[in-house]
Amino acid sequence: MRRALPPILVAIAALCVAMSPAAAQQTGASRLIAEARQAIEDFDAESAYRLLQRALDQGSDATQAERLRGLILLGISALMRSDGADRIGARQAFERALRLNPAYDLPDSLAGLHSDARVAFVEARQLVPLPVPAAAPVAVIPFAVELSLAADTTLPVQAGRFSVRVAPNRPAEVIAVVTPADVPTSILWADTQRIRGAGVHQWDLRSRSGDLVPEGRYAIRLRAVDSLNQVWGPVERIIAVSRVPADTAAHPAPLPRSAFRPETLTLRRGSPSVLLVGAGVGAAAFLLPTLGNPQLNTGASRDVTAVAVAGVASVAGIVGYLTGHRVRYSAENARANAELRRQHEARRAEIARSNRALIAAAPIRVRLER
Amino acid sequence: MSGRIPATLSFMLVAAATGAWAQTLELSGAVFNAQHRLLYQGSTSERSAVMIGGHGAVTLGRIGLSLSGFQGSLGEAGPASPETKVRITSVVLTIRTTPWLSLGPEAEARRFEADAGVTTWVMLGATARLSLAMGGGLRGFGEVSLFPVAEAKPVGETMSPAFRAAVGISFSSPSGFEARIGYRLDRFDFSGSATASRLEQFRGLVAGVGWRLRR
Repeated sequence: MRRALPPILVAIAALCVAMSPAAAQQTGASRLIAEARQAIEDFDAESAYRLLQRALDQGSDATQAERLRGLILLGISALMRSDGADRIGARQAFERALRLNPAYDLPDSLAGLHSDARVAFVEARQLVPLPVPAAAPVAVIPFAVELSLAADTTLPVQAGRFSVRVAPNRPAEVIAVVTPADVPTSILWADTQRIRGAGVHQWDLRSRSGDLVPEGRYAIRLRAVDSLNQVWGPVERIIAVSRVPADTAAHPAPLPRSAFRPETLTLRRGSPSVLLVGAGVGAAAFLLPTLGNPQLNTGASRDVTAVAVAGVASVAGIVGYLTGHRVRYSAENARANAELRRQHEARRAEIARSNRALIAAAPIRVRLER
Repeated sequence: MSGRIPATLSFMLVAAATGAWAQTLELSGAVFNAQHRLLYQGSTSERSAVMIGGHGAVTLGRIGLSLSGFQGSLGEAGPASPETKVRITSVVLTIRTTPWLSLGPEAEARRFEADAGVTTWVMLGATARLSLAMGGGLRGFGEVSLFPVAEAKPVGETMSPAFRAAVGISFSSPSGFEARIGYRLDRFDFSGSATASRLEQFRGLVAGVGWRLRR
């Protein structure tokens, strides 16, 4: 049967453990550094240097912070004991310290212990640059493009351009394509831009042939790709293109008949030849009996009916002349009418030409449907 | 009338039938106040007759076809000139060469019926017709027909010269009414010896009214 140890023995064992070499060394490094710091304060650089070498020995169990402090004090004590000549030794000590903590900076309280301490530390700093601060974590923002089109705009035919403003939230390549709304495979116009911030696609309302597109509905499709190959779109907008009605002039009405001069003039008397015809017929009637055989008509009385017919014919000639009308062609009026027709046609042609020009120059209206 | 349809009426029927394609159709009635003179065997006789007749014509373009006729009765004027019924019928085909002149062949027949018998003259020749406008619907007309071939049947006597001429005035209204008055002379000199010569002549006033239909 085992008996319990007496309390005095437990205390002795604990003291033995506390007095072991490992424990003495661990606590010694800190103490040595503190003694070295005190030695520096006392301008006993040689003692301080030796204490610090002991504290930083391979077997030392100094912590990283104690080792760092020890190396700094080592460099300072190297300068102090060589009266500044051992700057290489100081720099090496400082370099070792910075390798332990690259972000370490020499405080003025230590730099003021020797005038060359700061210079040696800067030289060491050049060998061990400051660490690059870690980049702040970037939040992953969805790729998006802000699109802006005029809802209803009127553009001039010449140099008129329909603008599509795009603003990606990060640099991107934006592609704009215009096709007829109902024929998406027929590309009329396309544009690709590398846009940072905001940019504008400007369609000149012309097809690839350079002609103005006819009135109708068109689709604008946009697609964007950023540097991370993230894709936005395609997004489609439908626009209606139409011509603003031109204020054309009405064609002049055909000339009424009353506008023309009569090309044939009716004269209020028959031709004088009518008198001759009447007289001729009368004479023929008067003389016709003489065509009979003279032998047969010898002794016969004058046929009064022939005289009557001759009289009737003569009177008819006079009546025909007085009551008749003549139609005479008027070359002067015909020329005037021809000139009137020519002027009318010229006016019609001028108005037609002017109207064509007005229609061709009529502005183009672009209306956003959706 | 002896049951025979007058030639004039026959022509009217023909003209009406052909009027379907004619451009103008002309129908008129006429009176010929004829004075007939005859010189035969040295003696001259004269008698007169009011002859009633008609005239019809169809025109297609420049071509015209006309038929006219008269009939009447000549009174007795001595032994050589007994009462005689006369019928004159003529057919003319004309071609209008100018607006005022038409030419064409003509055939004419004259039938004389007396108690002694019937004599028919058959004549073939040519006709020239003039028509000159005088204004106001008035026209002066002249017509000359020459018959180089003229024979009296059944005797076989020939005539030379044989011609007909007429001049006068016509009036036509826009509605198609037409009236005409003229003087006409028909001369027929029968061949033979001087002493046996026979000369006949019709002359006198001719007047008529009618209508001209145009399409």
